[in-house]
Amino acid sequence: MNLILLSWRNVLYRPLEALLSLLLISLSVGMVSLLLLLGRQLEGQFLRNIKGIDMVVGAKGSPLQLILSAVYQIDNPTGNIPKRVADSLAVHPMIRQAIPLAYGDNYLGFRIVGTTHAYPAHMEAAVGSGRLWNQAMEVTLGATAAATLGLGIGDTFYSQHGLDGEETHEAHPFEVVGILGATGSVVDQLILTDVSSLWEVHASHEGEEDTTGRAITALLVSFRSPMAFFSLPRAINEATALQAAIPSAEVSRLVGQLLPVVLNTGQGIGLAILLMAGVSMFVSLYSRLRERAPELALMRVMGASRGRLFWLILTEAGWLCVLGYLGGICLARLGVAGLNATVMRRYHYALEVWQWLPEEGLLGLLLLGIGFLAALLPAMAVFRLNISQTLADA
Amino acid sequence: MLHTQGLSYTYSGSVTFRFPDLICPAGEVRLITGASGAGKTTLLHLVAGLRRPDTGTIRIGEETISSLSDRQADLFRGAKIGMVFQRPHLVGSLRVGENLRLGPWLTHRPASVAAIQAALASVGLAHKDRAYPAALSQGEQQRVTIARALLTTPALVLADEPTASLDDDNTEVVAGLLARYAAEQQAAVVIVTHDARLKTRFPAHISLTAAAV
Repeated sequence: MNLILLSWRNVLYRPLEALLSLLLISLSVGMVSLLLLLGRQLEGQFLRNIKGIDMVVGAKGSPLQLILSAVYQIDNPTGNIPKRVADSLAVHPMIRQAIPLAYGDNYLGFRIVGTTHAYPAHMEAAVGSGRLWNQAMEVTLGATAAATLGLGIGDTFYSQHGLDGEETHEAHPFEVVGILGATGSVVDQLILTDVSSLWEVHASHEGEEDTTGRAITALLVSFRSPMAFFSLPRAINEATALQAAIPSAEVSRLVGQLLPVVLNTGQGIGLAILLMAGVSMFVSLYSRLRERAPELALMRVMGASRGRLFWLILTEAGWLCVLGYLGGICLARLGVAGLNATVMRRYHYALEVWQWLPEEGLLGLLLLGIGFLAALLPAMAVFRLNISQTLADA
Repeated sequence: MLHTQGLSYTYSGSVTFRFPDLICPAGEVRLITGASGAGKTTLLHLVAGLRRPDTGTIRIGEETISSLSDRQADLFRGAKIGMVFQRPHLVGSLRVGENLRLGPWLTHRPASVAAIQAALASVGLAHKDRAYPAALSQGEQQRVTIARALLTTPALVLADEPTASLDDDNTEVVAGLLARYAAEQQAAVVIVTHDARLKTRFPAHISLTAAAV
């Protein structure tokens, strides 16, 4: 017999009320924790992928869409640009490096990206096994793509038209020549090949393209000097048929404004549920007081100090808080795992499931504080309990 | 064993009770009888230290409990006084055996499993050790509270209408348990009652008259 056990038995004695409080606590902790995890990881993903890319050049359209498609590989591209125009831009004196990206096909939902060796180098993706592609129709797979597709070196496959289309290009098999190590960036989700592979696949398919009509989708540009930020994007946007977008500007618009609104709203709702959980604990403890008064008076008669009973009631709330907290933390992980299995697979992102955030520790402390406040008033009633009257009346 | 002297108690300035002196030697049973509202329960609670008398002294053995602090009174009561109430108050979330263990634990003197089994056996409920109070009849519950009161072998047992809600058979059992305990442990037993069945069995009593206003 001890206080922890006794309070646990008292919690179990009213299982439905305990369940209600537990559900509310778990739900609120789970919600806040899930949003913390999502916010932290999405922000990390967004920033990791943007690194070193000063400007993206592509077809006219929404700048955010251009960034999302070329840098994050999630949206559809805005369109294609002629290769010769891109080539002439790439030699601009203010540009240090311009990496071409060409889209057009996928394999089972994984994008086939035509590019140069500069792209994996820029994304710090080292070759894990095999080698990088050297000629058309050779591909090097990102780590996640290779693992998910179950492809190994020497395997061949036929691409499908579009970024999520199912129409297969039967005439032109791709051959896997290498697999990249995991980077935690979007490269893991890609199938990399030479730009010319996509021309080859589509040349016979569409027939009308000649060498002058060859196109790419976007250029990832890094500047020689920050001065270029002031002149080059504007010049491109105003004087050419191309569009230049600044990833850091677009992302800060998205991450800096939209994401926090979504996350803060969600967390606000979560905290409101947490308060309701506190009220629920308070109500169930307080409403039990009348019923329990003889029991508490009896324990006083048997020699229990007021402090002992005070702690007994606080510990009952403590049980609900601890169990609800653990339940909520588990719920959040289940939620992240669920998102990985559904939404994130579509966007080719993988979130870290077993990650512990310091904010979750703070959330636990907040919960304990709320539990303490909820139990305080019912527990204080122990000090006002008139033993003699309670036992004489009952 | 128990000796009260010149006790009086006033409820919020309106009703004042003046009690005749109560003396109960070790090994004996005394009844407190009287009409409703005569202050029987008040007197019992004064003796138990649950209320403080306005005047007078209460001596139990060598201790004058009317001069103890609240906390000392709690501990003294836990160790030396066993109480039985009209309604069988048990902690609903605990099994019968655990209810018995609760009291000694609260006074930091844990009881052995054997002692608990013996106490339950003495009221004929050894087999109900693992039952929850709600599963017991009223009479069985009252017998559990008596086992609990006697578990710590208190020198003084205070019972408030212990048989009021019991049938004849259970009344006889309860009266027998209390009488046997007083004789075997040389303890003082004070029973507040208006139950005629107890009055015939225990002739020694003090009778309270209605309060002086």
